[in-house]
Amino acid sequence: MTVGSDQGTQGCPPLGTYQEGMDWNPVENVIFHRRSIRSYRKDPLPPGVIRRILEAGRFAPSAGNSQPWLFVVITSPEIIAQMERDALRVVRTFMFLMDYTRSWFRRTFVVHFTKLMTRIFPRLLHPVPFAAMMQMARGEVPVFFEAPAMIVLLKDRRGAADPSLGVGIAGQNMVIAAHSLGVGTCWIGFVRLLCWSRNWFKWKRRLGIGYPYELAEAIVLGWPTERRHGQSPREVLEVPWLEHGADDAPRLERLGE
Amino acid sequence: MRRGSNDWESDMAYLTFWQRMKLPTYLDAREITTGMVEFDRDRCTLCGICARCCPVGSIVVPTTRGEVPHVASGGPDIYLCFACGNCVAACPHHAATLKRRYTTHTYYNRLCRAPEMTYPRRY
Repeated sequence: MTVGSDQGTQGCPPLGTYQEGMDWNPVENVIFHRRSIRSYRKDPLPPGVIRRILEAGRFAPSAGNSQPWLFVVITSPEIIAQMERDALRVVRTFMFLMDYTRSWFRRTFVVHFTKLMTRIFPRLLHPVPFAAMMQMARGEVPVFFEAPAMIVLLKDRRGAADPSLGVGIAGQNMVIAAHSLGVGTCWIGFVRLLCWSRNWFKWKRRLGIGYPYELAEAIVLGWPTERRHGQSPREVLEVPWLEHGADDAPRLERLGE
Repeated sequence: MRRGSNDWESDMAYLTFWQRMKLPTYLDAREITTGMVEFDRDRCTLCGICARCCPVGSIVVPTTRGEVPHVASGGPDIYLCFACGNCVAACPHHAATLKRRYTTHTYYNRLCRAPEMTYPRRY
């Protein structure tokens, strides 16, 4: 075991002194250029790279340092293909029951059932994942993008405060670290579709899901097929700044304009 | 007009009761503003990278020269695009431009946002 405190101090923060309008430093560059990658080369990721990425997740901050996560690495193409098949089957069932866009009949009658389900699961049936599921059922997009590796993030429900948030922080650490190494990643929240699969008990056993662990998210990884990173525009954000007296209204600043 | 919980919030940052209750079908341009991507005819080389990185697989790349890719449509002024900007970021020739942000007008309306879209700014 090495003593960690004084090893590799080169490149440690601070990465320069802040000056107005200065260039992005390497960390900011990685953050602003990271994109979710959705097509991967077939060749497998070396295990060393995956370990390196997991290490970034291991050292993520969490509430009360409770580290409420478990990472399951899947590099077997067979298992990923099985997951894809099961998830797609669930999507097709959902869309058979809920896709109201396909015909006059569905726009008139099925839509009421869809709306009822949307009231019950408002976040799962948000128009964006709904449209994504429609495209998956049509075979336009895969669920796991035929990635050579996957990290399934399990949440320890005994974690302090909000374990889901802890899993998110660990995942983002890994995604940023992976991107800095040239590995493409994509968050796959649709992995939770497996919960509705008829093979769910098989997946529970395979992935070690059971008290206290819950399926939270998955990240697929692989070498991107071509250069994909770049900046994209985002909405201008209205940020209230509370900087004067206690009774004064905040100053609204339009961030990014 | 009644506002949100803070007296300084703009009208945009508040959903009326009916906006919160109404669950529309998203087949009507009055209920949803979808993203919109435009491709520059002069710069596009039909390489197809944009189609491969689109999260909903909705960019259709033509096979004949002189045409530009387009986003699949689900009705008048409704595109299968949620303005993620992946194609804009990935395009090696900077041919794609994001023209519009994605928002729904009721229920899922995102609050306290401005419609303009900008690149990361060096403060």
